Formats: sequence, structure tokens, C-alpha cells
Amino acid sequence: MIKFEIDPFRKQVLLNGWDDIALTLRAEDKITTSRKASTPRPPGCRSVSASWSGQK
Amino acid sequence: MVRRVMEPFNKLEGVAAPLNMINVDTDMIIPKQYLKTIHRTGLGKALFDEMRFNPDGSEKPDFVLNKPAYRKAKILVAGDNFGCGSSREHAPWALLDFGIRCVIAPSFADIFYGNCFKNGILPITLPQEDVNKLMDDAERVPMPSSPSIWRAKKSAAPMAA
Repeated sequence: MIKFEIDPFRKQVLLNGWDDIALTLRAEDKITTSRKASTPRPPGCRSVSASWSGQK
Repeated sequence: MVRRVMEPFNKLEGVAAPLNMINVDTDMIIPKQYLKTIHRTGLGKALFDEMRFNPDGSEKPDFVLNKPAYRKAKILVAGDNFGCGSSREHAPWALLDFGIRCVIAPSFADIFYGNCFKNGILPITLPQEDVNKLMDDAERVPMPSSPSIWRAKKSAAPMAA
């Protein structure tokens, strides 16, 4: 028998069948929460929709 | 769009094909003319194209994956520096589409090595003497009746070949 070891994170990735998208989706709750949170916009930074309405 | 879900890799049981070459580069694995696709499937028929097929499309009978015992190989045993050359993700796509889920070699090119994990292929780096032994086994024991068995446990215990 020949034993081998691989990086623990990569091992979990293989054992669970996660690709890059699956890894991102594992944090979907946090991503949704973060996007919903009304974080104050930095000074001078307008949202895309605001600048569009300004040009009309 | 349906997202392809990667198959969890817990255990692999299958024929190991010996590819006793060093510096197998990604253009040997999947030649440049097949890189126009952005689909991950369908490249298996072009795997090792120039080594596997004559210019007229007929098979080269001496190439390992054309030999009857290795046509359904799931494991590839190869020499040093496997996957060198250009960093095309099509290389692991082609291996996977052919049915190979594990490559064993004394060393791998970095980007190819990383791309394997992203596509559900297990690359195993082993000392040269262990690879020689497995190469020898693969050359001598090609029949599916005596497969090499690869196990991986959910525990922290090392995987074993």
C-alpha cells in the first residue's frame, strides 16, 4: 500500500465535489445578507442607477 | 442554465494506464486546435490527439489508451512534470471527459495541478520509486479483473493508493 497526502482544503473540495462556483455558493447566505445591508456609500461614490437617472 | 455538478471523489476503482513519459505537456494532452470550445464536455475524443491518432483519423494501435486493456482507464501513471506547457484548463477537461479521474506522477506543473482539483481530478505526487512501482504494476496488470483501488476517507486519515 502506498499512502499519500494532499492539501486538506483541496481534499475537502474533492471529497465534496465542490467546484469554484459551489464554493462561492456555500457562502450565499452571507453574500445575500451583505448585499441587503444598507451600508453607507463612501463620499463621492454614486450608484450606477443614480447616475443614469441624472443623465435623463 | 443548468450548472454541471462535480461528482464527489470518495473512492476510485479502475484500470491504471502507464504513460511512461516525462514532460507530458498540455498541448500533448489536448492540442491547440481544440481550444476554441468553452464547453467542458466532449474533449475526451481529442485527448492525446497526436499520440493517439494518425493524421487520417485512424488509431495508433501502440498508444497505451488504444490498447484494449486500457481503453477505459480511470487512472494515468506518468513521468515527471506532467501537465507542463500552456495553462489551458481544457487539459483536465479532456482527461475527465475521457474518464480519467486520477493522475499519478513524481511531479506536476503547478497550474495543471490546481486545475485538476477544480475539475474533480485527483493528482497524486509520489516519490519516483513509488511511481516506478505503480508504472510497473500498470504495465503488468492491465485487466479490469484486478483493479487498483483508491480510497479516500472523510476523516483526517491519509488517503491510500
